[in-house]
Amino acid sequence: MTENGSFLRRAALLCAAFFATLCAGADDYRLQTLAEGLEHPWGVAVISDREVLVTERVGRLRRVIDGVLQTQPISGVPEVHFAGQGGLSDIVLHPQFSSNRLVYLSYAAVDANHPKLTTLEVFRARLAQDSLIDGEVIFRATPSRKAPAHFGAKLMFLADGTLLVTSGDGFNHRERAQTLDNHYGKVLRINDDGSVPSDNPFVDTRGALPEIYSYGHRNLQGLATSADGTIIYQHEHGPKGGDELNILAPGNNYGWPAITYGIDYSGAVISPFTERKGMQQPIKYWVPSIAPSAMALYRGQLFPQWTGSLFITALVPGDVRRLSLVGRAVVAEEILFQSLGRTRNVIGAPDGSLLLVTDGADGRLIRVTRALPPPPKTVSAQILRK
Amino acid sequence: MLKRLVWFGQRLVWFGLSLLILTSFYTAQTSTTNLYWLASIGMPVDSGVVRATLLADWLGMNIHGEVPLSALLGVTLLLAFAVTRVVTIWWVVESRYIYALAGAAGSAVLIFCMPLALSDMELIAGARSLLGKLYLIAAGGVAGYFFGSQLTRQSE
Repeated sequence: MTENGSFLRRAALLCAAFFATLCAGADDYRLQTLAEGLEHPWGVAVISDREVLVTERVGRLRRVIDGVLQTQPISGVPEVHFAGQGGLSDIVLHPQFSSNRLVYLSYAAVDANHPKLTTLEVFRARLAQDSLIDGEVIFRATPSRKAPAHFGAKLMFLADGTLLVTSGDGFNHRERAQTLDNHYGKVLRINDDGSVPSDNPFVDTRGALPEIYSYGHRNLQGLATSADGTIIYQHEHGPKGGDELNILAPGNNYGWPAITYGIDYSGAVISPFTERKGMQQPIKYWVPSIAPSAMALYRGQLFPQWTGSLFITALVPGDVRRLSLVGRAVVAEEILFQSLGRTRNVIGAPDGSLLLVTDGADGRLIRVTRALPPPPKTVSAQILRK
Repeated sequence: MLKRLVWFGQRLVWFGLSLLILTSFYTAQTSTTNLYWLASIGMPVDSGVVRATLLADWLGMNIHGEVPLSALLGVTLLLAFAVTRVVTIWWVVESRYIYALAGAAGSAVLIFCMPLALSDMELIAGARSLLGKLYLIAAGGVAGYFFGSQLTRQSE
């Protein structure tokens, strides 16, 4: 009886997700280009309905005010190593930004002691009118790497005020994602000043770096939390196939490269194993790869049928995936905005619209807003309208 | 005409076998590198897994890679052997040795140049360590030695 009840509940939820998917038709939204000519845009931070900050991987921080890209970049950005996949990456505002004006940047930097090597750094500064002031590097990943690839570099503040930083496996160092004496292939958790929270999972583990929050990752570029902040979603690029969406928990091992659903670019088997006790399974994986580049949980009211969905930008073939969630499970996937090509980032704006960033040397900042008046509030009314 | 065709066909077969030797060394080394590490962290690597992985890597790397290894090594050996053929017009050295040198040099150029073209990313996992690089260079030497040996045998 219980099994039947559970089955019926799941079936009902799946039907609801299916109808919600139907209700979000292409005629419901329109795409409005806010800025173009952005050089390899990467990170986006929304200050207000009027003002957005966008990082360009070449090392510039740009400001868009009322849909107009300001010609002068914001000064005071640290020197970045723009090569391969590296450069200025993510930007995030401090939870109390309105009072302290603190912004955080992640980027690839040349190792001062070994100029041929690069590393991931996190920089904190105060945003004044058109410049960053009082800047300081609050985190530097170790060891440095030769290949300017797989930096991760995603930033996200948790509800407790700590900052998550993703650090990729450096491409050539994948096995080190399984050991705790380095920052390759890890999610790191630090305080807003770069210090280590005392409740991090490995602070008392001998030989482990105390910033480590979870390990066994590849190249992680997406972080989001559930509306109540209790679930942390994280996605990462797989190799050839095997992109993953995971639910993060402190101390967990996500398996890379000991278990994977992908193969190497060379066609070789990285691991014949896809599961192992003590290693977490993704809640969803993609074969072939979609190259997930960013993620946002939609919390706005502008598209009620999207509320609670995860939006994941995909570089390959170039679209946005909307994942419907029931609890911790993904129950449906919808492909949106295919006309945009490679999409680099997605973030929700305070007015309920979505902001998208396209990838490349001529990137665009695009607002997804309603084409039609907001729908009636109930699902059944929406179905009738369709 | 028939003699020429036989001459060409023989070299084609020897070249194909050299390529087979080299690709097998490359793929086996990648399999071994990966499996050795997996075993070292306690993954259940048994003989069945080893056999399946060796076969999967041979097929996967030669056919399904972003750039099939057989094509990459085929071009490498072709260039190396063509240059060697020209060199041997003026420099008389026993074929097996000069072709072994050519195979090793070709393999070395490939594994050192590939990261330069790919922002220092090592596409062949087994070539990430110095020992792995030396092994692959030696494998090139073995393939070249085989090709040269056939030429020597024919000339004798």
